[in-house]
Amino acid sequence: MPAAVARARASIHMPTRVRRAKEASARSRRRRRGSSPAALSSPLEDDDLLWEILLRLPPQPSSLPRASAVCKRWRCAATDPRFHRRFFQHHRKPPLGFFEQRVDGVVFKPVLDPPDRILHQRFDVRFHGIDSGRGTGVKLLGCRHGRLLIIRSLQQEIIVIAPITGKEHRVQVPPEFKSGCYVNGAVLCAAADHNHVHGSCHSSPFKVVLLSMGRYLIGPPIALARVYYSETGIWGDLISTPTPCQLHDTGTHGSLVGNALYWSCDDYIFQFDLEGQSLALIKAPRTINDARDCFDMREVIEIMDGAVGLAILSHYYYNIQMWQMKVNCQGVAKWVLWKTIDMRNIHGIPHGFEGERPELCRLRYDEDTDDIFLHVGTSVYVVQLKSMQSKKLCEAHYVNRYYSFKSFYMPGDCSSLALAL
Amino acid sequence: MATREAGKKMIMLKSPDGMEFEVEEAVAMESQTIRKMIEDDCADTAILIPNINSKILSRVIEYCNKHVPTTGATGAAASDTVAPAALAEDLKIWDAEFIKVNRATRFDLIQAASYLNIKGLLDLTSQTTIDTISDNSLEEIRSFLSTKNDYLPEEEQTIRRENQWAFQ
Repeated sequence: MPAAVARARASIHMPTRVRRAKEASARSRRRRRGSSPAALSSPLEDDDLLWEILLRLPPQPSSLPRASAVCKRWRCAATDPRFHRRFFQHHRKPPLGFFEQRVDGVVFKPVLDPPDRILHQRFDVRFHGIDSGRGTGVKLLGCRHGRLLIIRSLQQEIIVIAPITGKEHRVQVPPEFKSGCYVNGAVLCAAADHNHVHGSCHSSPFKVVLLSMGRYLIGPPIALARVYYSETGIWGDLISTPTPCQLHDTGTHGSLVGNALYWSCDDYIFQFDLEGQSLALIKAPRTINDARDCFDMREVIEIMDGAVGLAILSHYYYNIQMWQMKVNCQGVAKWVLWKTIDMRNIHGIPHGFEGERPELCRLRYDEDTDDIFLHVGTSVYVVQLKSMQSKKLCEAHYVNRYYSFKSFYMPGDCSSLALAL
Repeated sequence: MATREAGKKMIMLKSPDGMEFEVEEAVAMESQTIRKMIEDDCADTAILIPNINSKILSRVIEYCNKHVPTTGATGAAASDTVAPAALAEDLKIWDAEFIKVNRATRFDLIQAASYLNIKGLLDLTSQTTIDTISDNSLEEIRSFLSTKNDYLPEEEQTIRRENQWAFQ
């Protein structure tokens, strides 16, 4: 159709030939998406396309270290922080295993197959000189962004451990939290770089939020919170609010939704606003009474574009109710039932007998993937809410608390780290 | 060569080897690169696509034809009557057949998908490349992708030692 050629007004610029001279091969070959495709024999010769392809490597720990051994250009990509950011954004953080609080201590339980299965001593709290067995007063408070948070009540100190690097950080519990009341806490990455994507945060600064009750002789009980900043090594101001409920030693998990941490407590939910540095109480939906005595069967979750929700596993194991919190213009929270998931529709988990729940049943929300971990009987399952499919991750006996540990591995992160058979 | 259909705006795509493809504008706009040219009013009726030969360009058009949303003005198939999940499954099966090509063609498709900025095609071609090497040894990966090992033996040993566990 010659006429069409004559009509052609717009044409994309002709390609720039990439010379194969040695000096050219030494410099980075990068181009913008949409610029002319160079006449390369393979897309692997173009850094942008090499990144596109390597992004699709599975997120397992061995992926990037193996890729970095293929050739120098692959190593350049696999060790580039900008590539890491894209890799983190492309994948969901892989769960490497669970830290469990058992009656005989804190134990790491790997869930991946070899060679990604972690059996390294850095994941063993005894390696850090912590005896966590019965009567030691050691409690696992949480696990997030590649770190775990432990409190030693007898020594009145908290310990933050980054198992991948083996680094640990010890700090004394502030005086207000030494009253003997139960202490809850959460650790989280404090990277201020706006380009930071949580994925491999074990070298970034972190903060710890502690939540407890104040001693009182008259008047209502008071909830207390304080934030520790690893960068400055100091505790922030004491933050308090009157509360009608008492914290319990239930292993309640502090959920991070948006820029706030949430702990469930009786008919209420504690909300700690990390930005505004304020502590507030939110009345929970009435259905929470279904799981009133079973704190492990409910958890604050994130639903739909950052909205705060609450997942409640019914006492009789019939269903999981998901409630959405809506705040009106007066700032009053209202709960709306968002979704009810019939346990019988989740494929792969054991179904309870009529009107009877399995002996042990816990619900834990996965902040990174929107999945739910269910500890049913002696097994831990991950339930993908989108597909309603579940997968058994591991066996867990005599476990009081468990927290999933997730992180990416970058080449060099884990030199000499043994992940083994 | 496509024929003009009533009521549909057509665009002419031209490959460097002189072939011309008349495609619906909506199909061509699956490419974000072409979409931008059309939206910026930089395209008339014919667009020269450099460095993508007619064989690859025809495959790209085939992909876009299949993946263009079927609702609205271009609605050839009545998607209202087909469940989204069934449509997605149908596309998945179609994609799996589409990508059964040799390595050279797949690499050409990756370059074309990147240049034309067609995310779905870039996902499909890149992921297929990774899937084909995921269980292979380093030597097999290099051989399969024609990637030269430019490490000195001692350098490679150091890198392997650094992450010995990953190679077990």
